[in-house]
Amino acid sequence: MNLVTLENVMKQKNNRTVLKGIDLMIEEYSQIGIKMSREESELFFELLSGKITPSSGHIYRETNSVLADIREDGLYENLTVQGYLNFFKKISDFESSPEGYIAAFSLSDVWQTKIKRLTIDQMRRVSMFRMFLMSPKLLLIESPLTNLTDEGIELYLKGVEHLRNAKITILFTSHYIEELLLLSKEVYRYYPQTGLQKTDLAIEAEPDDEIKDEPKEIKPSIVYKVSSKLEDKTIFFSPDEIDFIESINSVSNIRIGEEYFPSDLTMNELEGKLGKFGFFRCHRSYLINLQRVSELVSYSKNSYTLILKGNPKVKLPLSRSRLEEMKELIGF
Amino acid sequence: MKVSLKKINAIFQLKLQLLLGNMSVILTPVFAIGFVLIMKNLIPEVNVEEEGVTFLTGAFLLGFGLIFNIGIGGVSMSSHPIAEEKEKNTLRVLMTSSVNGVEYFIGSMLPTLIILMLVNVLLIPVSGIAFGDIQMPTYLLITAAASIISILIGYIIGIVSKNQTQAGLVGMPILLVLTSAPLFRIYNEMIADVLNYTYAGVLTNLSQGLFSGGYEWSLLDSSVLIGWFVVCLGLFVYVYKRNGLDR
Repeated sequence: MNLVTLENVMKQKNNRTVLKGIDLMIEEYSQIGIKMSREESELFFELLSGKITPSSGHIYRETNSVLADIREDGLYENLTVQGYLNFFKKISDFESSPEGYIAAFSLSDVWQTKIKRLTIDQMRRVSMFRMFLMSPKLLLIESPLTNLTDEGIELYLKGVEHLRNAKITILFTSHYIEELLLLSKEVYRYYPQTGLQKTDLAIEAEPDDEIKDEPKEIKPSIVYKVSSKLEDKTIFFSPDEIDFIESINSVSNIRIGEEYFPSDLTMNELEGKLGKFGFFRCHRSYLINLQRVSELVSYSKNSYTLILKGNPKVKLPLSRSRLEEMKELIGF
Repeated sequence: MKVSLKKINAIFQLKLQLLLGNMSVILTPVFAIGFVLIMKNLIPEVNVEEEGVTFLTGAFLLGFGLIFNIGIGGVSMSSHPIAEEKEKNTLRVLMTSSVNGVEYFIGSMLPTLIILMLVNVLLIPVSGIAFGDIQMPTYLLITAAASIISILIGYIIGIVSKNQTQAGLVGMPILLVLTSAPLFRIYNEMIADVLNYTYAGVLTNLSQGLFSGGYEWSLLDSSVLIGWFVVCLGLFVYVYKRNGLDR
């Protein structure tokens, strides 16, 4: 069943187009993540929950039980976690007592603590618990993992799992694609000009064979630079400058610090050339410089995340299938 | 709009808890009693009637206490929590959690009203008059009406302001006019006439009456109370419709 269907939705705010060309079907139990800015996200949530109507296009909603959570939303800081959640239990139609679900949201340590004394990790989980009590059909959440610690992320993801088991469909938006990769299976990027574009994450196994077929002869090329053409100039990067390479809509983007530079080569070509410089294909869309990796974190049984040195915000996914390969390479 | 008693009850309990935990707001009614006690010890007990001007210490104390409690306390106890909820972004969460405006306002009005009425009754012995000498139903009716008017004014301020500082600023001139009523009416006849048309004026009339033999209902007082109530309610509904709660 489709919970909400958007057809060519456009929305203007203060005579400025914020959202344009949005086509999306939110199916029941789908796990969608959308990369968009905060302003876009807020407006998008209001559209989905039916608070405002689109400037043009259509939104068909099968359910009215939509709940949106934006980053700014606050908690009653003077209440205890228990008091807060019991209040929302009273105004919702939730049948059983919240006490039974403390473990799912890992809040037993702070159940009697005032909310103002909680860490941001715990507050996020209290928020999630509250939304669980309201038990909407469709839940919209904006950047829940931003500023959380690694343990915070791990426990949050556990809570998300619980919500999904309770038949709540969750749609996440965030400014960071890395965050969405942890939270959802279908990831879209929103571009102001062209609308939503699906990121090619799902097909994973297929290109592996191609790479293995390529003859692996080691050329004596000690010098190699990756080039990026920008308008009238070509920039060369030494492999050791590069943090990682990300494929965005089939274009390989070289990421250095906070900046992206497009490259003409495909991911497979780059992998072939940079392999001997210590680059590793950790995911279908990512080629990472292993010299820059500082941590390997496992949030759940089947997902691993690589964290870069000096830039802990960047979290790259590592497929389970490639973990063994990486173990061999680095030898740990 | 469907109004659920269960939700009103839940909001009532929440608001009572938050109100009692909010020191800056809950202190105003306590101050009302405190100030009356202090002034009772400072002002000599006089009952003068010269050239038509009467000054009864007890009446002045009761009037002052009532206006302090109902005027300052009532307005700040209803405006600050709304402004605080807006400032801390908790109101949006509530309004998207299947609570509607009517439930929210009724649920949060009740604890304020209960605290105000409790202090109104406590002010009777504090200002030095016996419970037996007071027409209780009249006293309760008038103070309750005035309290509700104050709460409505507080809601209007809460809705139009974005945070607590702004709520304090917007409320200031209104509070100043209300609380200066009992003082000025002693000094200036014309101001006294004007003040008769405010609900604070009615409260002073009430306390004057109680200390000089018994309060008598007058058409002016009742129409002033009804008028203020109707105007405030209308303004409140208008502001709520225009601004809403969650922005």
